[in-house]
Amino acid sequence: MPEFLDIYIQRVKSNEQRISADYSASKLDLRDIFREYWVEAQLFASSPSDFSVLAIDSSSRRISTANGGVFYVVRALGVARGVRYRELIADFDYVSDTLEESTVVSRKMEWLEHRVAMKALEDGFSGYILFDGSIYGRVAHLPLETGFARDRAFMLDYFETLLELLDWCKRVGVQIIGIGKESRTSFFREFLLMKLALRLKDELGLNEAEIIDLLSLALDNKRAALRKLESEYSDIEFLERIVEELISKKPDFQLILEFAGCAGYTTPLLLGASARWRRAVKQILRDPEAYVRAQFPMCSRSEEFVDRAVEVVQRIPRMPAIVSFHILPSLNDTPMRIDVPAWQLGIDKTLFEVGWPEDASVDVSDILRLISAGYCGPENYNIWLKAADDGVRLSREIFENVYLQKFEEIVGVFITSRGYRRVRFP
Amino acid sequence: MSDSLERIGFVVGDANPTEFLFIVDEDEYPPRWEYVMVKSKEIIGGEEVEVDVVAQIDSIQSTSLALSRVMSLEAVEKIREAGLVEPRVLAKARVLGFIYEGEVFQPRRAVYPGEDVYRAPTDVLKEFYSYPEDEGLFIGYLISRQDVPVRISVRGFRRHLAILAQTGAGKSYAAGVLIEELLKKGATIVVIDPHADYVRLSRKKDGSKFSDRVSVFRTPESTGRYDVSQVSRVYTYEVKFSDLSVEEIATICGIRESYTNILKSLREAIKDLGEGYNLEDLLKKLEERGDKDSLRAINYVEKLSSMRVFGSVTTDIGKLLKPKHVAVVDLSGLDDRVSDYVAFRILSEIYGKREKGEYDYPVFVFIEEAHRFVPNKEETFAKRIIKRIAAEGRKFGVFLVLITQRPYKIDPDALSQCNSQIVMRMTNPEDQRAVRNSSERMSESLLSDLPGLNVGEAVIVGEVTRAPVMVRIRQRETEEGGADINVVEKLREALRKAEEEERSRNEIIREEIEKVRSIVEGFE
Repeated sequence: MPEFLDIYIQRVKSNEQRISADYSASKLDLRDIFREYWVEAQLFASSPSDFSVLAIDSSSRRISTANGGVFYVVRALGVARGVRYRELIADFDYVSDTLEESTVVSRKMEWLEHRVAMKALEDGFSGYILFDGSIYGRVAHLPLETGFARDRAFMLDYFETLLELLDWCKRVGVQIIGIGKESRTSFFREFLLMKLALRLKDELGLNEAEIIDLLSLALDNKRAALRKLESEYSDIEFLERIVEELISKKPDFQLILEFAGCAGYTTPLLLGASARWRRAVKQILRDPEAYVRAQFPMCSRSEEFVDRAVEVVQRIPRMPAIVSFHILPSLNDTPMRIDVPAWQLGIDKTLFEVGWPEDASVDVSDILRLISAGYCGPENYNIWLKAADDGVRLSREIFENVYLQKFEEIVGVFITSRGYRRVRFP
Repeated sequence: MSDSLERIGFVVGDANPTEFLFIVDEDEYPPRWEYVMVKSKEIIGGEEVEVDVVAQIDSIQSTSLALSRVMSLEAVEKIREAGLVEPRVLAKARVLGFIYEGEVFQPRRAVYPGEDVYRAPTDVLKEFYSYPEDEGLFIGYLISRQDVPVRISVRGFRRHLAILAQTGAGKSYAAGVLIEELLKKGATIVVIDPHADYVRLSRKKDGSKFSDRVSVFRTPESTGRYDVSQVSRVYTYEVKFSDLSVEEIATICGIRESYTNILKSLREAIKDLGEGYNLEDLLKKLEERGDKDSLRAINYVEKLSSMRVFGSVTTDIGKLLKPKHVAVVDLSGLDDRVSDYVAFRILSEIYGKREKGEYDYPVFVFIEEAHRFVPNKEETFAKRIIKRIAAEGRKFGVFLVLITQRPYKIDPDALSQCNSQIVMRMTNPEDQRAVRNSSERMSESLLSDLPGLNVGEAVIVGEVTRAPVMVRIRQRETEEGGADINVVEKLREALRKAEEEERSRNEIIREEIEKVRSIVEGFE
């Protein structure tokens, strides 16, 4: 809109210095400690033909209907050498909350990806399974009733499939790797801040437990942490800056792009559960049925459901810890987040057993070799995932002109005013 | 349909009544120019009927979602190593039409995406490219389906035909095939033949007789490329000198319009001679007049002495025009201006005969090296009559077949009057442009195919065919005259002759030596 351009220029100019400062700077200088945990490394000269890879990605589209429902399509694709595996859901439902709508559709995408992986395993696949995005995010969900009127128990299906997939991979030695190119995670920054705080504990006049408590509180309950900071440690300015930095949740990628002077990767860290997840799991361990009845109030009217749900949620505490790190393949590129279940690197810990991110002290050269084999520069960070993405992408045009039209044929009416316009003004 | 249908793909993407895309198996896809068939529905006589739409593959395109053109070499190499190329092969087909109750129609509807695409069955193609026995001329076979004979319609000749090809592509050969076929149908054919390429039409390749109804008309100037034993039924073609007008004599001799005094002397000399004179009479008369301009006129008119085509009688055009007959007018050895005049004379007389109803049957006139007789930028005698026949000949049953290797040198009006074209291999862009400009039926894609044709292969468009067709011209039954000489054979022959000469010279020398030796020995 050109008519807004003058105001835009004014606003940007007036905030020029602040934006520029915020874009790169932190309130704390983390350069030195960053470098301690930054491993300089160049990519390996490995070849894609050295690996058997199944790359999985998914896509979705949804549209709110005139009667307040949602029509959605989710699809997932697995691409391996000479073979493809597909899954698709197309459904209609009523959802009370639009935020919930987006979240559940995202979970359904992950669920279909897991189902695609299962299909490949049933087909005898062995090698590496690559997912687009993090693995940690998948294992760290909680089983809760959804707001989808006819699919309230969906998260139970989700966990059933995920647990089965992880068990199967562990049993047959299939490696799972998550590669995220657009991660907003801050586990590495949290790890560095904790290290920094612990290193200065004497100067701060606090013991290790006090520091861990305060920083954990900052992540779990910002308001409580700030209150505690104000009432108990108001004279410790440095601690305040650490807590503020922690609460701000700036992504690790910002840190890497600011401080990494060369290609390399962050020290692989063992990631554990969040406080919220831990609380839920404790509840499950204490009384799984109570948990199920509390978190699935509508579904729990069926005793059959409760029996099945209890069986599933009881397995959730066994969810594995995840080893995660970021890699910067070259200085002119952006980082990638790499996740693998900890057991793949010889650490048999569960998510529940790990608290703050800790140095995993593992050899990730096999993973780096695979990443190197699939890396082709900033425009193609992973050839396998790119192939899956190309194949699964669902364009708006296809969704509206093909999928939506078929759905409208079934229900017999235009489900949005757009359908009417499409016919009137083709 | 006797053949079982062989599915080779599915219609995808956008389609319209003239073309469609279809996806094929990347391991086993049909070649370019293959014929395909898709079921469709058309409204005929107010009713919707299922029809078989026949199309020809115009282009084949392979692509890969994984490999974009902006990729680095390294990326491509890695994607290939990972086995992620996943090629897709798409074919674009040009719709040729559908047959309904024996007639070919153009679809009004687009074929539907998702429809099966079949290899066109042989019997469908045979029907598509055939005509009733008395109408069809068997010209060859489909290039991509050698089991399907192609016939063109003699009715299409009513709006004239051009055979266009670069040298050596086989245009005279193709014309020979047409002449053979027309002769079998009883046609009256006259061939204007500047290089004696058609004089052996009466003979089969093995030397036996093809037809008694082929006559060759030669002038005394004929090059004698083939002796009479190779050419049956040879007649002399002459033009009575006194039939030439002053303007015609002047043009043939090279007297320009601006030489008014010379022309005046010539006109007066002819007027003095009255009727029934010959060339010697005219020269004598000019000499007698003795004035400067008459003597200068002699310098020009004398040139005609070496052109023995002008005699005391004019060959009757009736000798050339007979039913089921080919008259080959051998113009070899003649000066260009004389050839032009002779062609003009013959074509005018043919046209006159038909116009006045003095000859009952249509005449098919084949003009070889047509760019010489009806050039783009020059004026010739023949140009006027050829353009007239091109414009009006169909009304009187005079049908032109213009044959040339330089379409861009031919008069564009005359060429565009040829509603049918047989176009063979052609690489010169100027010639291609001339073909494009002259024919609305020659699509860009067909034009782009011309350089890729092999010798003897042709694209035929226009009224002689139901749909554009790519054909391999059939073997000729008769002897061809226009073929390139066999260089290797001729060199071998030359070598043999040289060796024989060497041998006989050595023999002579040896004999001489022997003779000298015996004389010397006698003295001893």
